Amino acid sequence: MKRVLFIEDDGLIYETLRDELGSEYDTVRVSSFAAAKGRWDREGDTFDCIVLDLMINPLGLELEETDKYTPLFGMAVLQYFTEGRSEKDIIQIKKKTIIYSGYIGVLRDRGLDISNLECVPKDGDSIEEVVKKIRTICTRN
Amino acid sequence: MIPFKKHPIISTLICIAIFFVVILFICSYCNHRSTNRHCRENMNEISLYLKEAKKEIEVCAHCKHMPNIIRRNVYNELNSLLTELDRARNELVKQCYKTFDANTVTFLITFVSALFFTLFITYIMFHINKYCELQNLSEKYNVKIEKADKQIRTADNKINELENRITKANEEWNDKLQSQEYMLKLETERNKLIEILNLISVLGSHLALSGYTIKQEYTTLVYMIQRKTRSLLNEKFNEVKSISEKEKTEFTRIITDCITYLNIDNLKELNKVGLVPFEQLYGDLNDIRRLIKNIPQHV
Repeated sequence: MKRVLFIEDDGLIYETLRDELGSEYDTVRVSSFAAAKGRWDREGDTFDCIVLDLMINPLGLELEETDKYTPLFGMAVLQYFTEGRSEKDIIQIKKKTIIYSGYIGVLRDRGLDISNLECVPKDGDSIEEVVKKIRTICTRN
Repeated sequence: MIPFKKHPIISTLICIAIFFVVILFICSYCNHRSTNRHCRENMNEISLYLKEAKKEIEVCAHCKHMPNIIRRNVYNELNSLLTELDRARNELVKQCYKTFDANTVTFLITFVSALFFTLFITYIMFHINKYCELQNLSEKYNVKIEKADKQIRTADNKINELENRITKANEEWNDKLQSQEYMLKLETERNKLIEILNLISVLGSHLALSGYTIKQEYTTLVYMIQRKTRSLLNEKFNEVKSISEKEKTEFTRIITDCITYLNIDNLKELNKVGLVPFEQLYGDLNDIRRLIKNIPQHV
């Protein structure tokens, strides 16, 4: 069974995605930086796909980090996931990560590195696109 | 109930028929009687003449001054003449009976004709009666139809009146509904603003207690407030098309209170790190105030 990690603070969006994916996917949801960090430390390698919202609860971030990432706290999570990893691993993690947020524009404006990342802006018909991308990534891995 | 009206032509026809039948009967009867009488008179007269002629001949035949031979001849001739006369008389009687029979037949035919004519008249009268009855019924139905039409018109008028009332009631209901919907939308927006105010009040009290020193745990509260402010900014008060001056003032007061409770100047003065989320929140609150100011105002 494929495992998907949702770092998403909006419960409704998570439930919709989980229902769309169906029972063949094992989904896990966290809504804050601290929770994402804890879950990753325990079972980080078991996830086939990561769906990352940018504006999540910054609980667990230092004040300096808060200043750095506001309001893109999801990037702090990604930074934590890739920290101390080899270039190959980083690419691997990024390739299975989908950034699903309403702040994609801000992300681009800040000039942050979004190479190897799938980006889907949150709008009316984006759920289907995210589900499609999750299925593609899970099939590939 | 309309009384049955007899058509005037029926009385006329009855009179004509009675008159015609009576006249025909009288004429036939008179003609029959006079013809028969004439026949009898003629016969009697002829019989009388013949009897007289027979007597004279018999007298002549008994005359003794005539020689026997001549007398016998005359007698024979007279006898043959008498025989012929008798035959002629019989023929006359026969003709007379024939005439009588023909006359009777004519009378009977005339009588039957009168009878048929009467029947014909009766037949016509029957149909005229039927026609009159139908006309009468038609009049009755026309009256009923007029009455029904009147009732229908009355019912239509009442239906129209009811429809008008329903339309008016619907309009009033829609107005009330729209008003209620508007009030509900306004209340929702007010609640959102009050929710933000409540959260900022909590944040403000924490900040005040810490001497306006930003701590790590405040960032979660700021993030939660910012979720609310971003949601409000995305919606842009779209549901509220216009707002009264009083409501606008109230909304502005709430958001101004939020800005005041945040006390950004104090935070900037006393903190070097962790300011960014607070500054962004401050920016959001100012944007919301601008949005409130831009909502069209109604009296």
